Amino acid sequence: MAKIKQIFASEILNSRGEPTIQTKIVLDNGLKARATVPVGASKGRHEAMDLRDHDPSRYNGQGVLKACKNIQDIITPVLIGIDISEQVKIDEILIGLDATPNKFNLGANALLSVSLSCCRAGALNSNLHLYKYIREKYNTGDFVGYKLPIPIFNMINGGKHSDDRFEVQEFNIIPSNDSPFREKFRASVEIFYLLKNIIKTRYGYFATVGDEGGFTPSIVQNEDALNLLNEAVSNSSYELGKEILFGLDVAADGFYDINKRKYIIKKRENSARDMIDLYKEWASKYPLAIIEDGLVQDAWLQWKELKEVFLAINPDFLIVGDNLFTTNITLLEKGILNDSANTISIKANQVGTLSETIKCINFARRAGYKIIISHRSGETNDTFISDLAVAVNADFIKAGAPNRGERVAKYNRLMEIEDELLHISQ
Amino acid sequence: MTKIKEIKAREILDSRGNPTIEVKVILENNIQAKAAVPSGASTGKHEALELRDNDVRYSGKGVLNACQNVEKIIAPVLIGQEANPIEIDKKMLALDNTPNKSKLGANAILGVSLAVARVAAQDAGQPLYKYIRDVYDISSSEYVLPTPLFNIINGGIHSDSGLDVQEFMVIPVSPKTLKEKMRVGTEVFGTLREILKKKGLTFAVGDEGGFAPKLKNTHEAFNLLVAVTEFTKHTLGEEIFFGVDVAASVFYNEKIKKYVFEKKNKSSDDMAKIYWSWIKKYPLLFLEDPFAEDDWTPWSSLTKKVDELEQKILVVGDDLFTTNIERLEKGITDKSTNSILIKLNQIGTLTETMQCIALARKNNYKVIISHRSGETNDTFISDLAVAVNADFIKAGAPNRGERVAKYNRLMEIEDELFHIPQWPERK
Repeated sequence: MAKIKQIFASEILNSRGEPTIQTKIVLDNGLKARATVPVGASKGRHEAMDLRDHDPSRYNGQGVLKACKNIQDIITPVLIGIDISEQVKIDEILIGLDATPNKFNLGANALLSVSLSCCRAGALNSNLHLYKYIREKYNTGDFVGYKLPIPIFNMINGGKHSDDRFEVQEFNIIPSNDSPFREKFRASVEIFYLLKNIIKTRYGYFATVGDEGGFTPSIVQNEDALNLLNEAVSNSSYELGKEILFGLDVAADGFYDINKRKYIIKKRENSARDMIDLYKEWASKYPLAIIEDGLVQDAWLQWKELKEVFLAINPDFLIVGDNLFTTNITLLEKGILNDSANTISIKANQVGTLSETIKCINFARRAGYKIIISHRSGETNDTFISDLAVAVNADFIKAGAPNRGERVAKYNRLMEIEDELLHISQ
Repeated sequence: MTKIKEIKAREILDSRGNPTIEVKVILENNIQAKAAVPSGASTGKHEALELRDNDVRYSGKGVLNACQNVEKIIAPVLIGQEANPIEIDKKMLALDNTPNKSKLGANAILGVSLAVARVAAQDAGQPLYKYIRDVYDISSSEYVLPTPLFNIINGGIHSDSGLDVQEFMVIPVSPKTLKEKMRVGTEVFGTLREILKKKGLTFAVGDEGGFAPKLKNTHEAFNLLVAVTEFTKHTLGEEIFFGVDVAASVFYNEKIKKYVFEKKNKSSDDMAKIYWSWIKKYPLLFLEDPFAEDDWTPWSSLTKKVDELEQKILVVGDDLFTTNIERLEKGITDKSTNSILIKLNQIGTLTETMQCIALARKNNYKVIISHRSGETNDTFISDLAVAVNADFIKAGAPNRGERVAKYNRLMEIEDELFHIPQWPERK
């Protein structure tokens, strides 16, 4: 048995140049592990709290020294001496220490970095790969064998992740052929190159990328982005609609006017019904398979309508709740009750500990939901989510475009896991 | 020293989505370490060869052949040998036996070279920077952390912004700690983002994490930097200086021997005049690759003139030297520059890189350790910079995981070396 000997928290920078936390755990047998936490830009209202210093003299108020101090002064004294293999108990202690529903006291960023680094230290101490250790710790009989998640690649960034010229936040491609993960990854890269060439040729100067690694071409219409994807895939050796499907993360909260109760697209006011019609129109023109946050959070019954309309067209269509659920089991229950979606986007930092995250995954699974493990727009190079996705046999993983170190790291780790599991030779 | 038991290579993707090599070395005591190699877009003519598959996968950019070279040719020779970076590098050089690593590929060789150094450091129970210092016999007992050069506006072929100059950098020289330098750099970067937003310019980023707004010319870029610095209330020319990487080889037309700069043909004299006007107008501290890589003559006269100034300005050779000791020797004889940019993958082994740094140091050159535009999350260069007390490190903007990783590692090293408190009590 190994016990926690020391915990160190420090402020590092994330992929956007914002401060975030790194926590390092040292065990009494000398083993060490660390974890870092991401942060979102487009946040759900019900997310657990990301604690910031609000000290205007540093990092525009975004510093996380308070959260680090919470780890050092409040969490560490309680966790020292705890058996590292007791992941569930560690998380319970963290939740108890904070004692608020949304982690207002200590900060979800503080809690999560401790939770994840403990898990990694536990895996190291058990001499197990992280994904196997997570599986072992939380195995509820739901998982048989290992399968790698299907990657969802965010190729074009709109909405809040670029500069709000077009409303839909993410235009994704999904390699859906029955091939190894590494071949799906290669497909995305080759399409990414082609897309880059088209954007460069057509829009001259702007082959630059947004926070999640996707392009931010100087287009203004959402349809232009879909057309670009269409063209790139058509130029590739992959068959559109068969090997490559499209997905949208609309992040509809980003352009919803709460007072008017309307979705504002290019100054035009749209009702939920108008939005559903618009998505239907897109689905008739493009090989659309996923719509995430197509309507505003809390609009439970309109979500149901959205779902019914699309499942009538295609029973495999995925209606994904991200801001709708914020990895929160109470909200998920509400969604199940209202029949609002069939897929959940899981983000550990929306809730704050690994145990709560996995509880939510298991709950969703049992309700027949598909699982998407997701990164955030402000990421680190930590690859915990890749192992988590494999551990819970997630259906999908969302980790951005095949571009930017913090995104590619997740996919590189999945290729490594695939090698380990299947001994696929290069 | 422990012997090498196993060497594995795999194809991973770099920060641009291009394939690159990751090498894992396992010692007989089962200690293991990995290293991944970067790749440049603006490559000097004299760089060592990066081996690519040139087949249907990844538009020809696959590195499966290089991985095979590691596992089938290099590994059999190195397995059973002690993990001594100098000896291992020597063996690989003999095995390749070409001037530019064209047989095995500099990417294959460098992956092994760096992974061996890292695993040996772990075996010795030392931080990588300390191990490198010991193995390569660097006499200094003090550690001085490098000052970061933040490339916050990308031009040239890294971005298609319309700017001929490839990089515009801000250099926070006044804060004493690296952590505070990082903070200043990050705040300047964040402010530039806000200013670009307000002006309706794009704030998406290029390969090195800097912004790539469409700007008319160099002066507009400089003026933007001036505006940002003033907004953040830092004093230009005291707290913050500017740097540029001109990457002039890219717009040099060899046939007519002219630089095609801002749509006009310019002689090297014209270019020197342009640089001189920048030096007069802006707080320029750092001028990299102002002339083409084989246009040696104008370098010396510019360096001579610059060295007469009271304010030190670095004239830096990157494409000029390509971390190649023979080219550096010529530069020393000709007095071409006063600084050298070091990139491990331009030459292909850690040992050759260290030799190049040692020669530069002996001749009082300033040393800058640099990333490439196609990077991985490997932080070897941060440790290398600390090992050799490099004056500066170039690792891009404080943005994109692969860039920020280098800076995060430097902050970690600073903690280790100087016990800088994490949360200083603030007044």
